[in-house]
Parts: sequence; C-alpha cells; structure tokens
Amino acid sequence: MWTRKGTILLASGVSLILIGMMISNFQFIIIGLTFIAFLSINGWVDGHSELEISRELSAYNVYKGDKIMVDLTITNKSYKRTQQIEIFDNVPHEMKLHFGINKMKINLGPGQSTKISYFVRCPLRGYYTIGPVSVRYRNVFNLFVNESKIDSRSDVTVFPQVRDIEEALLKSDVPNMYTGATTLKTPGPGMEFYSLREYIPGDSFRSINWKAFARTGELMVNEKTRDAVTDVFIFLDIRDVSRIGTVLKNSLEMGTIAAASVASHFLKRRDSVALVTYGSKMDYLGPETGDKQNFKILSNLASVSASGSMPLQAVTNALTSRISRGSPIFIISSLEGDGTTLPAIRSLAGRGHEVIVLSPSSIDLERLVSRIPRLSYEVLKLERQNRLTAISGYGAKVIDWMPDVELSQALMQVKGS
Amino acid sequence: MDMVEKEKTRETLHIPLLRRKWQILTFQILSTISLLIVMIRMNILYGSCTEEFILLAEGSAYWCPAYEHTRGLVWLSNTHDPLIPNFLLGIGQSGLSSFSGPLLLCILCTVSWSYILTKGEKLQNDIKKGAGIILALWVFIPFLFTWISSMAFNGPEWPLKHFGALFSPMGFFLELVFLGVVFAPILAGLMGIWGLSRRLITWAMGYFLLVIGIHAILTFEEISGAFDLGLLALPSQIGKSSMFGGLISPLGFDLLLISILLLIFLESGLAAITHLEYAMSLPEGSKNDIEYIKQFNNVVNSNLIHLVVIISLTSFTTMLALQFDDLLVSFVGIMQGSQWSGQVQESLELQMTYGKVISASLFMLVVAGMRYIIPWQRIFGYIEMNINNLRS
Repeated sequence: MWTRKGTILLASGVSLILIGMMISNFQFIIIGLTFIAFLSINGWVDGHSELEISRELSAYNVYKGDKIMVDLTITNKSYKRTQQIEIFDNVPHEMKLHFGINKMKINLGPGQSTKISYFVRCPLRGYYTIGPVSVRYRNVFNLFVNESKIDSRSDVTVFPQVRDIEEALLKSDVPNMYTGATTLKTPGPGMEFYSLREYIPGDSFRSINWKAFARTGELMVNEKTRDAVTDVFIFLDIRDVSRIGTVLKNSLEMGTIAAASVASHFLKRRDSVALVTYGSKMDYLGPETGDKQNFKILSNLASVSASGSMPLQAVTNALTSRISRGSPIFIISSLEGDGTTLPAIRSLAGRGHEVIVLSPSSIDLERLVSRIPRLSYEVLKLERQNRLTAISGYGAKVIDWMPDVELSQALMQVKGS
Repeated sequence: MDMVEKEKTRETLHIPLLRRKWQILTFQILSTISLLIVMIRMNILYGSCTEEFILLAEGSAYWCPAYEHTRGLVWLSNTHDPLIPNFLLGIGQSGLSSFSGPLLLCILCTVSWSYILTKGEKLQNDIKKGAGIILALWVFIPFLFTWISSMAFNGPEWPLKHFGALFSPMGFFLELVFLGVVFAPILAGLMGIWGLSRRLITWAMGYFLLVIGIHAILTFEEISGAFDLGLLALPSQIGKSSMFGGLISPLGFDLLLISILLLIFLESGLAAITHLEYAMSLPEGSKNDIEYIKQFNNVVNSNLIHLVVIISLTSFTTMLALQFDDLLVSFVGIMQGSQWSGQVQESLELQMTYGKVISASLFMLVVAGMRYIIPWQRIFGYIEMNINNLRS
C-alpha cells in the first residue's frame, strides 16, 4: 500500500512532468522523472513477514495484579532480508505494560533472530489472549507500507486476588461456629488414624495393617479420619447491579476477591467448598476438597461477569436439597434490587445453617463514580443499614464492607445476632 | 574481548548518545551538505538576470526576482544604509564568499534555536516576550520621540505627520526579506536538520520547488513576452549528451544534480529524525536492552546503505531515461525503409520535450516492472548469507 508521502511523490512527479512538457521546462521534467525513478527503484525492495515467532510467558495462570514476563523470539527463516519491519505484539488493553515495550523495529538478515522481552501487569481478572503478532513493513523512505498478522497466541488466565484472611477469621466470630464441626470423626480420606476394620476386596494394599495381621491372622486395614470436616457454601451475587462502581472497584470485583480468599482459606483447612454464582443464570460447583477444587473455583471466578437479575431465593430453593445439613453459608452480595434476600436468608437460617453475609456497600461504590447529594446518601445509607439489621435479626452474621476497607479488616467487624 | 563487550554494553538508545552516533551524524551532515550545494547550484542556474535587463539599468543598481541576494540588497542600500553590516549581508563580495556572511547568520540562528529548544518552556516564552517588547519599543520610541520633540519646539500638534517614524524598522525587515529569498530555505533546512523538525525540512523542500516553479512560470515565453521581469530563462533544449560517455548533457546534469540533491536533503534529514523519534518512543528499559540496540543499528545501517544505493540508482536511471529516446531513434533507424519507421523517427527526433518525455516514461515503466522479473532481494539475501557463512 502506498503511504501519503509515496502518493504525493507520485502525483508531484507526474504533475511536474506534465507541466514541464506544457511550458517546455526541463527542470520540472527532470525533477518529475527523478521522483518517478526514485519510486520505481524503491519498488524493487519489498519487506516480508515470513518469520518464525515463538512466545514464552513466565506464567499462564496468574492472580490479579501480578506481572507476567513475555519473551517473543522472532527468526527470519527465509533467504532474504526482512527489510525495515515493525513488530507489534498485541497485548489486551486490560493488561498494562510494566517494563519494556511490546514493539520493535527490526531488519533481520537471512537466518538471524532477535528477542523482545517485556513485562505486563494484569490489573483485571479474566481470560486473555496475548497475540497475534502484527508485522508492518515500512519502506526505508516511508513510501510503501504493508501490514500483516502472524497467528501466534498465548492464553492467560487472571484469577481474582487471594487475600490472607486466616488471622481475621481467628480474631472474629466467624470461625467459632466451626469448632464443633471440626471435632466430628467420620471415616474417609485423610491423614489421622480412625479405626481398624476387616479387609474387604478393593481395599488398597498400602492400607493393610501388617502388625494386626501378624497378631490376629486376619487381614485388617487402617481407616483414616475424613479430613474435610465440613462443606462450606459460597453464594456469589453476579447480577447486573454488581457492576456498580469503577472498573477496578465494584461489587463484583470485591466479591470475587472475597469468594477466592474464603474458598482458599477453607480448602487449605481440608474442608470442602462449593461455589454458587447467580446472575443471568445459576452456576453450581459442587463441594470438593483439594488444590483441584481451588483451581476450579478460581477459574470459575476468573470468568464471571455481571449480568441478569436472578433472585437469591430462586437459587436457595433450587439448592436446598444439595446443601449439607449444618453447612456454613457465605453470601457475598450488595443486597441491592432483590426483594427475596430476607426470606431466603430467613429460610437458610431456619434450616440451621450458619449464614455469613458479606455485603460490599454499593452506595459507597456508586459514590466513586457519581456525585450523590448528601441528604440522599444519608437516606440510602439508612435504608441499607435497616436492611442489614433485619438480616442479622434472622440470625445471620452481617458484614457491611466499605470499598476502602481490606477484606481481612472487614471480616473482623462481624456483627452477630 | 571483555573490553569490546563492555564497550558494546555501554551503548544505549538515549537521545544525547544517539545525537553523537556516527550514522545519525552522517545523515545530518549529508543533508546539510546537500542543502548548501542546492543553494549554490540554484544560485548559478536561477540567480541571473537577462543581458537586456542589465543593459537597461545602464550601470545603476537593479534587481530582478532571481535567486540571488546581493543584487537586491545593493539596490536597497541606495535608498538607506543597511542595519546589518555589509560583510554579513554579503554586499561587496562575489561568488561563494557572498554566501559566507548570511550563512554564518543562519548557523548562529540554528545553534541558538537548537539550544533554546533544549531549555525550558519558560525561557522560550521569555525570549518571545523579550523580542516582542524590543520590536514594540523599536517601532514606538522613534515615533514618540519625534512627535514629542516636535511639540516641544512647535507647540501641540496631531501626530499624523510623524506616522512615518512608525515604519523605521521597515528597512531592517526589507533587508531580511531580500536575504530570505535565498536564505529562508537554508535557515529552515538547517533548523529542521539539527533542530529535528520534519515540518521545517519539508517547508525548505517546498520552497525550493516553489522557486523553481515561479522561475519557470515567469520565464515562460508567453508570460515573459507580456511581462518581462528580467529573469534569465533556462535553455529550451537540453543539449548534446557529452558527459559520462554521452550519457547526459551538461545542462541535464546540472538540473539532475539539483533534483538529486533535493532528494538527499529531504531523505537524509527525515531519516535522522525518524530514527531519533523511534528511540525516544522506547521506554527506559528498552533503551538499554542489547537486542533493541542491535536492531536499531541494523535499521540505521540499512537506511544508510539504501540511501546511497537507491539514490545512486535513481540518478543513473534518470540519466538513462533521458537518453532512452536516442536508443529508440537508433533502433528505429535500423529498420530503414518503411514509412512507419520514418514517421516514428521524425516524431522522436523532435527537439522539444515530448519525444524525450514519452520515451523516458516508457523506460520508467520498464524499470518499475523489473521488480517482477528479477528477484533482487533473494539474490542479495543469498550473497549476504554466503558471506556470513564464510565469516563464521
């Protein structure tokens, strides 16, 4: 493709030749011919994008706010020079360049290679793709330009941040309710010894207690205490209202951080954690333990986006049969625009569940993006306060989470009934 | 070996270092030299008045709108003494020495302008304000002085008859205008090359083309016949090819030299700016990155090679294109006898421009089409690869 300069040079060249002919001026003709000759000779040289590109990332799964190092190796595999080309590695606009830059002007000879190294910061959770690589050939004198893309892509998952909330849970009322539950001894996969029983076909040979076999003459196996002492249910509100606030600070972002941190904390304690997200539809991830479950939860949280208006009661009704008796339930919601919140929580508390409501203050989040008159703010705040008080009246522990307060700090402000 | 490595790593892409880099300096020096030679060549070709016009002046000072500065300044000095000293205007000097004074002024202006650009915006604003105040004082103080002093001797009066004093700086501005005819593009070009301004470089290039255009129009027979300003027209025939083994005529060479020098001035001046702009756009980390430095050197070196090779080929191609009509005439001459060949020969042998231009355009088409016939880059790539293999 011709650049503006190339086009001007061509037009000037032709015009000068024509005017020169009309007024019999050889200077015009020669300048015009020189311009055309310059363009013709430049036309012989052409850049190319027959490049081999490989991209390496320092990590493919990162937490929000982490940095990734990107190494892009470009090799000219053809038998001709690339000429002056600009390489541009397409980075999603949600990622920010932290160190270095994702472009380079190169001119590689046959077989030569070079490397672009840069760091990107990932301030927003989600699934992203780095690439493809844009290649722009620009003539040395900026007369012609040609753009192409090389399909080299790398997928990156940015999980929500996981905050350390262990200390906060120890100091607050929240963990106290699990003290009873943790003493429950039931056989299952775990570390601690539970009892001896007779061998039945299918049991692992590793679990055979050889000393007992020597003593009794019968095959006996060791049974272990089930490590997962309880099933923790996390309900995350991802309705449309949860987008209130800024891109980086809104109910949904705060909620994903809280859900990830709570899940991670209980999974580390070998508990089973289930995640329920509800917005335009309900997504249910059943209770399980271990790192795999942690990965599943984080991946799930990485992909959530605000949409829909599903009421909480519809979710709780649908899951009543699946929630284990006595399981603690975390509800992470701004509690805005859902008239079913109260009956839903009342119903859960009535069935003997410990309900903890972590509620990002949507009024204060809205204040970050728009000006709310003082009087209106006071009224809205009072309404919200009444709603929270009513919920805590049903036996739920309620946390009013302000935008500028850290999760661990917020958890220490548990208001019990 | 270690010392060499250390030397290499000391190289960065910071602007102060790049401005001392030999490739960048070569671009700037090439551009400057081309600019100065263009000025001299243009002065030789477009700086003369016609014999008739000089004769009409009968020995007194005269001025025609040619690309020459001393004639106009001498003509101006007859009405008032110039404020700028004669040695700086080039009055009383001839040939190249008449350029030295004004060139010195241009260089001084460029150096101070480049220096001021590196300083803060406050200083630039202060200088602009200072210049404005001095100009205002220069305009109004003589006027006020003459008016008040007149009133002191003659009593109260309206200032109308002293308005002439308001134009006291006009002489100075006229001197600048006459200097500017020749040196405005030089000053703009120098400021563009060394002060890194694309706008000024293209402006200088445009100015040269404008001078050539105005000269061509004013010397066009139809116009000069009705309205003669005394400008010496270029010969309407390009003449016999006698240079470089019959490749080009002396006049053709002079004209080609100007257009090639204009291209070198433009392209090398812009190249230096483009590379420095790219380096400036890089973040701090990349400026120290050895890969970026290596590729920057690659790009700059290839640009320098392209400039030399492509400009040389362009000159050669243009010369061949101008001579292509001769080849066609000779070729048609071989096919003597037919009526058609005779007609073609006659039309090509026209002394006017048409035959030459049409044949040159045909030649350019062939040149442009050669990119599809000969795989230049692949050939050079093979050569480069084999050289690298031999080296390793």
